[in-house]
Amino acid sequence: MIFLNHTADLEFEAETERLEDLFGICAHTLFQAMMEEDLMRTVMPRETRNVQVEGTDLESLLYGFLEKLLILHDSERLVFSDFSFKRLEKKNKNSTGWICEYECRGEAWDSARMTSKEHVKAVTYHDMRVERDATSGIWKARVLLDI
Amino acid sequence: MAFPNRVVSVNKIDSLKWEIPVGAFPGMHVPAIIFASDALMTKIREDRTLIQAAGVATLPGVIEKVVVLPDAHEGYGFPIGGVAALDCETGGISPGGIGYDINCGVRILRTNLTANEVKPHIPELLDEMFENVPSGVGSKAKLRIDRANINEVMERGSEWAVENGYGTKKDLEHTEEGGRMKAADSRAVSDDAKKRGMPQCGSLGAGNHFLEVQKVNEVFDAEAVKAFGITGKDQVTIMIHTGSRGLGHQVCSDYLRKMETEYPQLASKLPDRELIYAPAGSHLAEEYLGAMSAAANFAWANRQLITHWVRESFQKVFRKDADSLGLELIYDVCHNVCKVEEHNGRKCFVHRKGATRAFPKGRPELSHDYRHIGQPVLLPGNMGTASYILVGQEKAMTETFGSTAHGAGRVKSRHAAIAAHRGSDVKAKLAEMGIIVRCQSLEVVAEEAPDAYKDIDEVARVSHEAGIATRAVRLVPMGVVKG
Repeated sequence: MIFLNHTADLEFEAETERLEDLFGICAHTLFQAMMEEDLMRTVMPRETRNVQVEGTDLESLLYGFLEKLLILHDSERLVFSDFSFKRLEKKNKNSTGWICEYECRGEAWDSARMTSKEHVKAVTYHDMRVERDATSGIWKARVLLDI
Repeated sequence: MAFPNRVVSVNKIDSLKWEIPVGAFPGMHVPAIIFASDALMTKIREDRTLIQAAGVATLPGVIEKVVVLPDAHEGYGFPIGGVAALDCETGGISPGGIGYDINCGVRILRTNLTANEVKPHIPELLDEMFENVPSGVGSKAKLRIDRANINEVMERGSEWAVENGYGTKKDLEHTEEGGRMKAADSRAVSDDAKKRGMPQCGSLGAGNHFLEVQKVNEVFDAEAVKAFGITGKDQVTIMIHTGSRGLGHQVCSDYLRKMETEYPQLASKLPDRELIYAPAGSHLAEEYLGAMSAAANFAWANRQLITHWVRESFQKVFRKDADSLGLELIYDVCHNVCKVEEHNGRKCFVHRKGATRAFPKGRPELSHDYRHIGQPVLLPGNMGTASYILVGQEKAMTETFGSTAHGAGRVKSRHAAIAAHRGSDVKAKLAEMGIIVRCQSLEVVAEEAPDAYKDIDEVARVSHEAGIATRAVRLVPMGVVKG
């Protein structure tokens, strides 16, 4: 995962062999943006949330997944560092829609341990892409977070 | 990606004004007019600001011109630091023209204190405000806002806060819209937005939001500053910069998605999908206006609560009450909002994104105390640089739909700023300048280094010399609290 140079916001690119890992990396980056870098390793798996979303395509699926995590963060002060893949697939054989489900583990923000960095206002569709490189087969994502 | 090629032709009109003419980009109905000096224009050309402005000019119902202000930089669909007016019958309303942080805004309080009196207390004051005002990621709410009262907060804004003991009637008079947009409709706000907002009502947030203790550095307009309650150099003021928190951000996200789902044909015809809008007269346009107004009111309630806790902090440190300290609100402005206004005989949705209303004297919208002077306009700098109070002028009504800049936009990405600076060095350099910074993260301090932003003095000068909002007073920081 690398952060790109965007003037006002936070844009990153991630790539990996498996699509399900890609979504996990993007989710991890969302929370990594919120705290000083090394602290993500100290986030304990005290709370578990099962997050399931649907989307019309892979971009809207990733968008919906990250947005659900952001809503959990703001409404319950949760940060997640571990994402276990449950499923990511077409809704059904004939449908163009997608569904994904992850078990997300983390804990409530602890200001004694966690140093605040960026407040992520929103996940955006700006420049967003989820695509597979035709040659290498590597899955790539680009996401811009409004901060 | 929209607009991969960022070049569009621009003509110079005079030393402070430029034009992207109709025809420079396919489908423009009106020109884009940029207010900038040569130096600021060089910065503006570095990103997609200009081509985004040209894109906005293709929207249906866009009136007269798209305005780009001297602190502009690229944003989501619309550039940040711009104004577009869309006709209320033939145009529409676009969430990208307001931004994710609905009613991100600024307010400034005056005091009876001088810099000499305050300077020895700055560390204590900053500590007190840091404790008293929730800030940063994951901050715990001081106030219990739940489903029973969140709707009231959104419907009534600052009025709700004042009625619950967090301010005075004078605070309402000195807030844009009286701190309450009457079009607010809490039913148009999603449950997700309310869930995000409830724990965050009365909190600063993070990033470029701040509390700043300042002192008057230079007075330009003696008559105006007298009306504002400013007596002269070294008088201490306090600036508060924050917005609608997670609630407003979710409202923007929700309606961008609703509009794209409702109007896919319309979205596909736009030069940039991020310009998606709801046509005037549609139910979605009405809903968004209601939700946006509700989010704006939430932001005003937020700033009013923070004002109360800032007053409490000063009272504790100086052991005097707020009245004796003269802790009065000069004004509160929003710089991300859409208003229904009439300009040159046409009723329109005026989208101000990173732009501030700058109405001249005589306008009925202004507080009675300022009607003979003109609207105070607040330009917050970032830590280490100056802030300004400007005064709205008549020329703004013909040039910029009664608007001016909102501060100093970023020029360096956060990563470039971190690469160029160590937070500890920035903090130390500011301390040498007599500015104390209280911030959780040294990385954020590096990101917010003064050279990451445009030159605020130049932004203020352009606004002044273009005659749209003139300089009244220049303020410099003494102490800053950042989330």
